[in-house]
Amino acid sequence: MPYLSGKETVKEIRRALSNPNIQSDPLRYRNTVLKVIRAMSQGVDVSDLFSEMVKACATVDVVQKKLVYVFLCSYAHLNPELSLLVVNTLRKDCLDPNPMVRSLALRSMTNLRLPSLVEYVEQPLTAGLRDRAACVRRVAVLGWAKLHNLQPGSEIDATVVNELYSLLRDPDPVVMVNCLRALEEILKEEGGVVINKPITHHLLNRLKECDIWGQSEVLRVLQRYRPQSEDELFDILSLLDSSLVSPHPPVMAATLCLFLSLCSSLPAVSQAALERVRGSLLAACGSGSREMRFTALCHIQLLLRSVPGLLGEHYKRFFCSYAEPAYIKRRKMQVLVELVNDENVVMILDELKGYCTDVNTDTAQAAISAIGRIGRSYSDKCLEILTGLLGLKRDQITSAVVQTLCDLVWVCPQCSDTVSLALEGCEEVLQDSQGKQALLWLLGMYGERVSSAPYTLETFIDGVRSEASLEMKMELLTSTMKLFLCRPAETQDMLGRLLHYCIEEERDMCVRGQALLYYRLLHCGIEETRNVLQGRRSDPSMGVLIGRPTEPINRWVSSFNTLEPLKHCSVETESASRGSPEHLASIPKPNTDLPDKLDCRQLEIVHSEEQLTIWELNFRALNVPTSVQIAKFIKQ
Amino acid sequence: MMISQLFILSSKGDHLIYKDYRGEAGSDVVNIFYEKVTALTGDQPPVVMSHKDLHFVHIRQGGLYWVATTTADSSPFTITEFLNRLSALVKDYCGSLSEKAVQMNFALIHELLDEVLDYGYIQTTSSDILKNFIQTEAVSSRPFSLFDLSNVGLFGAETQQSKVAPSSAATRPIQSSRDQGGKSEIFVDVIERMSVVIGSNGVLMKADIEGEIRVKCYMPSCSEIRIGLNEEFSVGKSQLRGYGAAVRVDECSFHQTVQLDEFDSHRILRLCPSQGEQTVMQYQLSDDLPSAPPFRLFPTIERDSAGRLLMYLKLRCDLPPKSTAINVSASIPVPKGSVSLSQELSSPDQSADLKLQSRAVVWQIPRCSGGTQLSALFKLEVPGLSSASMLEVGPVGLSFELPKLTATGLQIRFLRLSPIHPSTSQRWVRYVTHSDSYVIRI
Repeated sequence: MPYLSGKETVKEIRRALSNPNIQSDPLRYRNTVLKVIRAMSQGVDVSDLFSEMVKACATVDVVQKKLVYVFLCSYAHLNPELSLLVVNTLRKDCLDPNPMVRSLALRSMTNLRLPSLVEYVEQPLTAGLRDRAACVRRVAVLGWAKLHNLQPGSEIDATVVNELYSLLRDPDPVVMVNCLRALEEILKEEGGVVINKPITHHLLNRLKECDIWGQSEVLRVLQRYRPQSEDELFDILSLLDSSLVSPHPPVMAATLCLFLSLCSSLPAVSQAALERVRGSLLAACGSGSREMRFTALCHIQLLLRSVPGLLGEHYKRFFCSYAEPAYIKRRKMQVLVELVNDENVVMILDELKGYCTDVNTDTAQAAISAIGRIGRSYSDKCLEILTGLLGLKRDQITSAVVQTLCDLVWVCPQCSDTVSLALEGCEEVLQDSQGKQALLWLLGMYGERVSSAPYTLETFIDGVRSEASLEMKMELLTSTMKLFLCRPAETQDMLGRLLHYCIEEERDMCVRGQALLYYRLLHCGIEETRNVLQGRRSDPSMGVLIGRPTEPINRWVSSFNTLEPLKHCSVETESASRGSPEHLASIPKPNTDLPDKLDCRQLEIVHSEEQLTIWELNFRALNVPTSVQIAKFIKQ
Repeated sequence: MMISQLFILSSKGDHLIYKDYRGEAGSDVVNIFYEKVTALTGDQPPVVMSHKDLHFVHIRQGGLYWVATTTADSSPFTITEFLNRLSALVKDYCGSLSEKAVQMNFALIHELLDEVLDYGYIQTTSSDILKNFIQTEAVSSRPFSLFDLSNVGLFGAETQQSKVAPSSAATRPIQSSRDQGGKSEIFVDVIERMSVVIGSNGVLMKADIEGEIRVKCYMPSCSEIRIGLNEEFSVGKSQLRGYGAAVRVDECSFHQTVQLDEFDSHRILRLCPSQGEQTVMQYQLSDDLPSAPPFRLFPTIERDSAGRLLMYLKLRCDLPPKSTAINVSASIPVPKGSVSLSQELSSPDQSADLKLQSRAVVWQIPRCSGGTQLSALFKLEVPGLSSASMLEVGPVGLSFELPKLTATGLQIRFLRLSPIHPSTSQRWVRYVTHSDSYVIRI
């Protein structure tokens, strides 16, 4: 009845529900009830039919009963008074000879979520715990958890808790696991269910009886256990070994988590566990479900933070297949960057090169920046690919390459010769402001060696009036200033025009301030300006920051097997490249004006990665990273 | 670790099923989810999204969104695996997975959801246990069609001789057989996914095969089946290969219900399948294919005097002569700015299109038998074609299906039921290899 409005549908159904002819025909009655649920699923408000549905629940037809209960559980909170009428039927059903009807009634009764009904529910729940049928006990156990959460702050009934503890020994594994779950909820204030030695051993012994969901749950709870002796610990570990290589990712992940928390003081054992789990994780990466692939990839990234060499020889498993969605490809590339070593670098670069011209621009950009990351350790090969890509003259590719080059020379200044040669002609292709900004920065840095640099800048300066981006203007100012220092004759006139525009006509405060600063700086004389603008990029000890040390496992173990690793847009995958010696050697002159006490304070900052990115950003934005400013930044 | 709400949305955002297990958040989260998932940009990973302290985990299956809301400390492995299992259950019970099937069977799905989860905790997903609780009959969304009678032989007799199972045979609800007196059947499918990279010099750079044996059981009471694999089947790299056609995989894992006591000696799997579909065995093989990769491509790419891009492609099918590949489709990325395409194909059943959206020429070949060679000449009009933009041609992605063939050579020697069922039960063994990703660099 798509052409009827919601109200008319409800009216129509109500008429049918109260029609005695329909009520006496079980099949038609059931179909009418079905219509109600269908309307409910489609989002029609059928709460008005509550009283008719209450009547419909007194039936012997189990299917109809189930349907009515679905309805009642959804709308009970709107009609607490009428719901009282249902309770009698439900309580009668709890005594039904058919265990399926008993469990259904008990579950529905606890799902009504009405605090006013608690007193009627307690008695059938108590009886349910001792029911003959396991399916009723399962429902009853969780029912107590529901009841407890309905009355926040109420006293915990000690007899119920005791009964639940004793039901941990129930022959049905689902009842056992449900008891754990219920106790965790009821005793939340006290830190959850008590995990002592007898309970732990009991749970471990029965682990094999549970299905994979139960196993994961038990393994999770056991993380709280601390073995009393080393012997006990190793007994537990060897018992769990088969779960560690389980083909089911949930069990594998939960077991690994338990292993890592049990062995937090034994790094060698943790390491061995990570290696043991490698096969299952790789299998999950090739799973048919792309969501599972993604989950596994995100967790592999965590593992690699501590054991970078774990998967080096399996790099081919992380090659993208062309039908995969972009978000998986991106993660795979991030992993590939981490796996690079002397043996596989050629193959990996060859593969990444193929992605650079991908139709999906996100994928293409990710591939280009991945090559840039690898370039920190293998600069020659990567520069060859990157400069080759510039030849395509495609705006998005060029933009991504120029930005990547920018990052690369920042870390590896020895690449600057190749980079400055490649820059000619890029300005004609670039369209977006990030790409242009990167180009400007490079021209400012290496303008001496790019013959067309002044002309490129002049084009930008001529168009500055129509430039909307604030960052572009700031970058343009700085680059022109820097270029002026090395090529004064060609640049003097345009710098004058630019400064005049920025000080007199520009409306943005930041640009104006920056221009004034430069203007005054120039008044202090060319030597002073040079000292400020072309000062040393950073002090030698910063070279260490490039390589990321392997992290201890306990840094990430708390987020393993949670949603955390999947949430971030892109984990900052600082490549594990080693701080290149050339880089350290290229630092021009020893620093004289660095305060002595800086060293020790700097070490503190090195610890935090976020801080590092802020640092980089600050340097890039200000472009005057003298040691004076570093000191200032630290004092803040 | 619990699921607070669970809902199924169509790709257009229609609410198909909504179930609130814990009453912790309102139903308005459904719309919040849909807004979020449609607003994602390409570089944001979609699987997990959060809204305040509520987290959405979702999968896409059958064109639908299967979404669970949960807390931050839940295991993503468990929830994704559960959602996958749930969609498989729904598929088993409804026969197929689509918006229509879900809409028509909403009562059954509600019933399933009630049994599978209680208070947000997973109770069971085994179809053996569930079948005792599920009462609603499935409504099959497949309309009656004369074509379905095609497997009924002359004079209405069942064609026992027919060796090919109808493709629709395995897409029916598992429970319909119980009451309609339908056939009791068992399907054993060997499905392999192949992912291959062939370098521009023709060298095989990567070859991975992920395979699985799937059992789909429509027998109301099946006590035990025995599946015999090739006797020379070996696992792991260390074992020496003798002469002859040994079948080797690197790793394999089995479903927990599989009895392996006869596996080491006779390569026999014993199991008692539950109704519906289950993956009995999974295996992988990397880098060492027993036979040549099924397709090779020999491209010649040049610019003609009129400034057009000429692509002459020869595709050779290296399958054994009696095998065929079907639904072959080659996608050749072409330079940006390509305007139009003219083509010469080696036979009339092939077709080719220039897809501007994906910047590629797609060459469709409905059928290609082993040992044959196909060729195609594409002329592309590309204004401003430069030698640099020629680099944008390639790599070629190939997708295809190889029916009745496994790339590893794995075969089912026999499939025995015990106790021996009456003749009404039918056993089907099917093989297929899909191209997961088949890339040929140019």
